[in-house]
Amino acid sequence: MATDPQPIMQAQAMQAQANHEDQLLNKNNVVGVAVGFKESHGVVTEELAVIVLVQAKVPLAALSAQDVIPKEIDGLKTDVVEVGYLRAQQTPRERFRPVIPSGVSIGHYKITAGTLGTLVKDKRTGDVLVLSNNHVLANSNDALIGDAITQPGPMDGGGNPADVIAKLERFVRLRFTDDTDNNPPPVNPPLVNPPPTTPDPNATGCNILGILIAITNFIASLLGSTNRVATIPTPQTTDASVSAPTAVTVSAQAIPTNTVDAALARPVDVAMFADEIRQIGVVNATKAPALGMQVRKYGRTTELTTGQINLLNATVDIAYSTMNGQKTARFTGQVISTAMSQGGDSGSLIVDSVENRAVGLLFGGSQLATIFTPIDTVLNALDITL
Amino acid sequence: MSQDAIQAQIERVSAVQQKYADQLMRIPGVVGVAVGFATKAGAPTQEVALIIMVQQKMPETQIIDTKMVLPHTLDGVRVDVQETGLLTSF
Repeated sequence: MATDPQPIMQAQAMQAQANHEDQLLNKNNVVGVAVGFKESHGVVTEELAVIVLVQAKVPLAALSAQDVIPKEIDGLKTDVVEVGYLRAQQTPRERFRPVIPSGVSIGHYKITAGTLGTLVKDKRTGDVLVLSNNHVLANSNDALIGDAITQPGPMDGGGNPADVIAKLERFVRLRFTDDTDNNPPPVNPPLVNPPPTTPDPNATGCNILGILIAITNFIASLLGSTNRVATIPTPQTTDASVSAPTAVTVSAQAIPTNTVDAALARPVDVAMFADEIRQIGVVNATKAPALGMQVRKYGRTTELTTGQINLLNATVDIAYSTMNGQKTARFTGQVISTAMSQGGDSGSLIVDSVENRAVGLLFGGSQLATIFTPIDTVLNALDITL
Repeated sequence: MSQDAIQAQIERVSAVQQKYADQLMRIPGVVGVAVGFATKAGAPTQEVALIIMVQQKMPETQIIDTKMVLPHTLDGVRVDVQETGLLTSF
């Protein structure tokens, strides 16, 4: 086998690089120097070259003579490769200063950490505000307007007051299923068991009583008398003829519903915030979610991920770990995608993969699914625009 | 199928969803109801269905109380059961 000439060539190239490195790095726009194979028309050749890394390729005519990169150095060809601005890769869990992009760790000073969704504008005042979830910026209702918001979030080392970058501005209160009566054990709805009747197919919106009775009957029929449901109390004594009081009881127990888990914070210094999401860029238009739509997000925990919208108009029960224990909140009108997030990604803006338009605000999920609120619902609830 | 046809189906299924949502949400193990494409062997079909999200999917034969078996259709709309696990805030 012939001797591989490459190690010798490589040594020569590295020597040429060493001889000229300082001089090359002094040129405007050059961010690095290396040894590699020369590229010609986008194809890698077998010719070793001194590679000059530049932030942006600039036409020769636009360069001053001293910034022009020579075609050859010590008999070796050079190749100019555009790599953009190089910097140490920061994880979104780190402290970002002097400029804070969206997609990074943030949180109310009493929580763990969530994600800074995006910058928005107050519709009334035009002020720039920070968008994320209630459970990220407002500690699941357990917060006061003006409370400190840190970057990174407390779990990622954010301290109060050293890392305070915003103050809680306003939030949509979460209505928990169990909040009607301060933390009672889960209560099952009272069940009536009237003589079997067929739900009235003509029941309309005005016949609320009829619908309530029909629903109650349906539930009673679902909850039979086998072991599987034996733990659920099924009072058998209610007299169905006493329909009015029964209906009132049922409606009083109706589970409160939510449409958003969202909150706003006011930057301490607006100039510290970059209006772009890491690895996604500037997002300033919206798009309604649709079945099959490909979406992505950048968040504090799983960073850049993609998914597909599978379910619309979802009514879902979401478990919240709050300072007052585990609670449940029911949401309507939500969107569900394939799994693309984990704890800490809450507050991420969901963006469509094709046009970079905002589609929703992420706030929950499981190992199998990610849940977000349609962006228009969020903007309307908080009276903001992107 | 055209976008309009899909939209019409979505609206029809949404109406059925709204009608039964509260009842379905009271069934133990059900964590959500929504509108989506029915799946067949894990792959989505072109049929818009009422999707019942459950914490854990069980073979119907293992459900002792037949009344706890989720319906296959509601008001003529196809029902598909999909496992999502427990949904939590992130």
